[in-house]
Amino acid sequence: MKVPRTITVLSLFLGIGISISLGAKSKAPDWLTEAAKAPDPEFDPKDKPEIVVLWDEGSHDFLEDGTLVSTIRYAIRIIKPSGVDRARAYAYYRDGSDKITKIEAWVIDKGGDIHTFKKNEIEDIPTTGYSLYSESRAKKIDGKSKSRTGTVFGYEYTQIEKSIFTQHRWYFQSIFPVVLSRLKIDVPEGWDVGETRFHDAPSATINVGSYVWEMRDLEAVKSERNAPYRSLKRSFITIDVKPPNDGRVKHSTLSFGSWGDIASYTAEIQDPQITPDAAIEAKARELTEGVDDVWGKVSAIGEYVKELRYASISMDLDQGGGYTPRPATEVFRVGYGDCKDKSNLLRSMLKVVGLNAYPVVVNATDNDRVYPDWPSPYYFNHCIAAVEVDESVDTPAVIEDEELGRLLFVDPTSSLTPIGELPFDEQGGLTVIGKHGVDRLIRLPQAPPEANKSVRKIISELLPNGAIIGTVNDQYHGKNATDERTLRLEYDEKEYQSAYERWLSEGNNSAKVKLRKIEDNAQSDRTFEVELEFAIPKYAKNMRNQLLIFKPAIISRRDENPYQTNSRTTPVRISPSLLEEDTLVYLPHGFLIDEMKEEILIDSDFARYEATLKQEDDTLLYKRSLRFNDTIVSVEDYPKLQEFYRKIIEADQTPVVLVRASG
Amino acid sequence: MIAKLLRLFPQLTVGVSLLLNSSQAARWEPITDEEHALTRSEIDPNAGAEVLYKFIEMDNESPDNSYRKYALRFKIFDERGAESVRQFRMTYHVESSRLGQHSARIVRADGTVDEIDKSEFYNQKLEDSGANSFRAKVFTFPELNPGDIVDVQYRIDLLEGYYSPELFVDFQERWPLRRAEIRVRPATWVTGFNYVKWMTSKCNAEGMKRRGDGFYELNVEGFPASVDEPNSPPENQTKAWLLFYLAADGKSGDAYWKSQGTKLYREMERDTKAGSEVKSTLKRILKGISDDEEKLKAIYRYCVSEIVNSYHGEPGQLTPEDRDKLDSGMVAEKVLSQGFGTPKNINTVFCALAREAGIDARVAALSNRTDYQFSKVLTSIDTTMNGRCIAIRDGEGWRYFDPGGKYLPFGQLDWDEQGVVALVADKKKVQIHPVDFGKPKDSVQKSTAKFELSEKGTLWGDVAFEFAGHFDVAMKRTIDGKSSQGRIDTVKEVLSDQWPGASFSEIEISNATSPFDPLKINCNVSIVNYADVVGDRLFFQVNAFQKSAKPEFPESTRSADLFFRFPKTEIDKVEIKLPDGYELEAASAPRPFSYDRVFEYGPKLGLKKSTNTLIYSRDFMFAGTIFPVKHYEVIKGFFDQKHVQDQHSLTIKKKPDSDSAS
Repeated sequence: MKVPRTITVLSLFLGIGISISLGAKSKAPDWLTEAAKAPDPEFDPKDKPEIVVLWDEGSHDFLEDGTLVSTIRYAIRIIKPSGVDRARAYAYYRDGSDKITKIEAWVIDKGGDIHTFKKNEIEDIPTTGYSLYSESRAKKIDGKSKSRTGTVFGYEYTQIEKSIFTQHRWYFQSIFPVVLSRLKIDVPEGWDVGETRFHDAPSATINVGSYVWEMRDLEAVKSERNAPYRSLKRSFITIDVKPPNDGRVKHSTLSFGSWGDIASYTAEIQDPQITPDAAIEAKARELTEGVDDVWGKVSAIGEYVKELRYASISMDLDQGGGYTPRPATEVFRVGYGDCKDKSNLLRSMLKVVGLNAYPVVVNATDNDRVYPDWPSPYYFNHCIAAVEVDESVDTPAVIEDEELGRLLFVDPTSSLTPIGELPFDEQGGLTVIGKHGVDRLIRLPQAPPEANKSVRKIISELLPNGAIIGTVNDQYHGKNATDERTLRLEYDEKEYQSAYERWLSEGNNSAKVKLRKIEDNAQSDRTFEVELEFAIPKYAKNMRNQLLIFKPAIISRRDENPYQTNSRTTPVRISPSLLEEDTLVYLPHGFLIDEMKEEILIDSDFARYEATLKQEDDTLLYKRSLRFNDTIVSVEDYPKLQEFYRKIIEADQTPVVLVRASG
Repeated sequence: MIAKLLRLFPQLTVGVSLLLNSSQAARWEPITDEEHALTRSEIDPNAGAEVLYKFIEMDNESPDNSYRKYALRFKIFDERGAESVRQFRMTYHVESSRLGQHSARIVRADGTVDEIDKSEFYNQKLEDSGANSFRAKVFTFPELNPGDIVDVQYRIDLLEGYYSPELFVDFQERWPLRRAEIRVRPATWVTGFNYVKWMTSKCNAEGMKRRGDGFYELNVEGFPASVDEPNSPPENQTKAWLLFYLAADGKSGDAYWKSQGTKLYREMERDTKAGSEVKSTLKRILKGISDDEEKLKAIYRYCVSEIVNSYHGEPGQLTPEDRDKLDSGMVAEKVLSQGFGTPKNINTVFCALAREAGIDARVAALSNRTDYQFSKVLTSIDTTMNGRCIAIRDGEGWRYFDPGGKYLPFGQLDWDEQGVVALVADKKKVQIHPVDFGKPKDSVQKSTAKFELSEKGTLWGDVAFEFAGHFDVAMKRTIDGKSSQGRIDTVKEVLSDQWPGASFSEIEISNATSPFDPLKINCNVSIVNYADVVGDRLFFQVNAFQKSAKPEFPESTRSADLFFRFPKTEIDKVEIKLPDGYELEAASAPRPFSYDRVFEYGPKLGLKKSTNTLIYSRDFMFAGTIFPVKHYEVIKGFFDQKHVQDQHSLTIKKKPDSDSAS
């Protein structure tokens, strides 16, 4: 066709024109040119980072009305090929209240040539995938395809925020080495700027309303397995901006000077939302009909709210919408909500039946986030409830507070955690209870090892050909029960059986499993019980029909030390757990025990392992227990932890030797 | 009217069964007594929920009224099923469409109906990048209980001038599907794409039927949910689906493939035309060579080693300016003059040089084992044959070469392009030929160790690995982009999986980026507690390379066919010097077994008494590529037996007269 051909020809000429105009050298901003000149900081060649952060700078300029204008400048040099994935610019913002007025990015290659990203390469993306609705978004420029090792990728953006919040954080260190990290804050006359410094962060240099914090040549923060968050000692500062109360300020008005402020703020935004309507009242009464005791009421209402769907709607984030629940009446009507919605509905329904409960803000994923020296809501990403209960309620989620009395913490979002327990990752964390006058952090209860135990009973028979058959009864408590419920919800019965077959086959030959019982006792003793039959061919090694050698630890036999790395710079958080296992093995006819270790005891401050073997007629009774205490192992004691694991692996792998009886 | 092409984007395919106006209340397909009465899926009794009905209607007949309508009905059987039917997202492309007439409801087991209020549908802005902006309507169902029936429907109206050139419907998603109804009325007003084509896979239906009103219709039923099991064939080959599309070429079957073969031939002639570069290069590299096979090898070697492949574009090989010049459509003369190119460019040069040398070389299109299975019926070369290689005539048949493929040795294609079908370029005839799988001997992993065992159970010594064929290609591609230390770290990671807790030293890697020589790895290993010590006995596995191997197929049942990448051979050779003063106790040897040239397992074990050293070797050959699930038990049995034999263990005991063993 002629028309398209004409277009093609025209396009070719256009292409030449464009390439000529693009052929002129692009220019990078001065700060990026300066950043690119910086040599790489020293790092261990054996531990080469993916990238080096050359420049990390934030300039926050507060206007008279409280509007915040921020300019962010960030540049990296790619050190390893995998580092190209880091060549991405993100400018996060809240749709509707914030504006990204400018975002630009550049790549400077090794030879000094500069590529400037065009406007049509800017994407606008949502940043939460699970919300029904969220204002959280980001402008993004992907520099991966233009980046290689040795290239410098840098970006700059300007953001205008009109938010009520006045607290800001700045992390100087990264998981990569940093050449320069700087925060600059400018405030109008009459404003105060308060700083709190953590882990060697510097004080500000102040010059007439302009505050600058700067650090240079910083080592990467090393993340190690099971290290408590605060032990990473990442240098950062927190800023509290305090505008004058002169009526001119429309934004940046919400200050928190104490934990009591946060408790009051939580109560102020949540309490008005719990007022029940007739529908809530009717449902609460229906659920508790005939129930007189406190535990019965909390259980019945808690289970009901837990079953409601979790769905998050994030609106009015600039005005604290992320902390404000929807009215309980609305949550009840639509039948779903997020954590604060569900906690609030729980409180509303409990109120109907005469029980008082408080909102509680927590960190759901890390119980070591809160620095008591800097009161802020930023630590918290989750909301639960604390119910005032009497002595009749006695579960691992109860604390006795001197001021507030006996409190049962309930997380109605965690549908697989029974009422009476808390999700494991929340346990032991510091929280704020939303009640006026409570000016302190309160620690959530940490369940002891016994509350998270697995009790296993195995009855088995070892056959002369080396096969072993038997039954396993596992009773899971606490975290283990929740994990098992999660697995059961994920798999249908056939898949669940296959999962057990894979588990029993670990370290063994292919096992055959038949499930006999799956029982979830979430609403009685909160356990989860699984019973199965199993058969493992050639489990014992048969040596010319003279010897049979087998390991009495039939399942979950350890063979890998989780702490193999010899160097360690941070302590290790040990989670409380307990395994109690009794195994009865019927020995094959005609074989006698020739060698076995009757007792193995490995004890330490943080854990205790005990295994005993006892022969009774033609049976062998093997008892194994492993208890981990809730503790933190210091860096100095890390070798002891390694040694503990080395020994329990050796103990788990220790075989029993049977010999054929002569004659 | 300019037709604007709208590629369908991934989305949950739900929709409506009735024509609705936005002002109308939602109308629903009546629920049958049978649907009400269902208490479990008849297709899969284990399923927590089932799609009772899936409906899609796509109408492109009118340029100003094109639309797609979706409807989906679920039955909830248990809590797990309720959890799986939770949040719905209905996605649409902002520049080309609008979404409306969305509604959802829950019909409870007692017959009461909960409509989802319109205010509960939220607008979600998804990705927004110029011409590709997506939005979605999102809602969540409140509490769902066993026995509930869930209905969802919506409609996407395309803006004027847009149409959908294709419709792909997946009939096997997360839930079993009881019944599906698909209707499509194509865009007959689009010039250039006037031919309607469709294809189904595993649908057990006669196919689409054209109705009087111009709609093509497909009614199918009874699909299990998709399963995700290791070693499964690619989804396109195992799942049930419908592909409906418009094509510019109305030919079908052989006629279509003949025209594509001719097109390939014309393009090949254009791209491989010999000029001064081709001729002078050929003269240089074939100097003194007269045999055709040797010529071919020389040309292959030249293409692999003398032309910089953009694959090898790690720092130092190609400048940014070079990269800007890369163009897969370049002719051989140009590629030779600039000295670098894309993998396709390098194949073009190989073809041009071979043809100029008088060898019958052709471009060939290849299907792919990880994608659609080739079928003459699915007449879309871009869909079913998107690989390219060079075919060399070999008597009546053809051999296949891919010098542009990274590290591929002479005569070997990538594993996913073996065991497929090739369309060889030809001026006149349709030339569709099978491409053989490689042989087990072509892909070999050889592991050798010389160990000593201490009386405390520590095993230490030197190990060596050598790779060939697909093993070699895969390992080189894993480590070639890394620094020397990075390669060592990667090797350490791999070895640590094999021997957790072991320490490794003196790791040496040879030929990591060589296109011709095999990758070799040597290192020293020390494994504390390798042997279990009980009293005077040590108890250990002889084949140290398989110490941490797990059963390949531990599950006793399986739903999907078995798919293996390539035939292979593993050779393990282990020597273990036993501690002084110890002797074997009741020792036995592992047993060989084999099955019909598919599975051969040959272990040998002996003791060299003069040095008290165990000599073990084990050759394992597996020629399998794909097996129907009905053979699972047999295949599992082979692999279980192999695992048992690999775990073969020995006991050594301190001799009664031995004072010490140092």
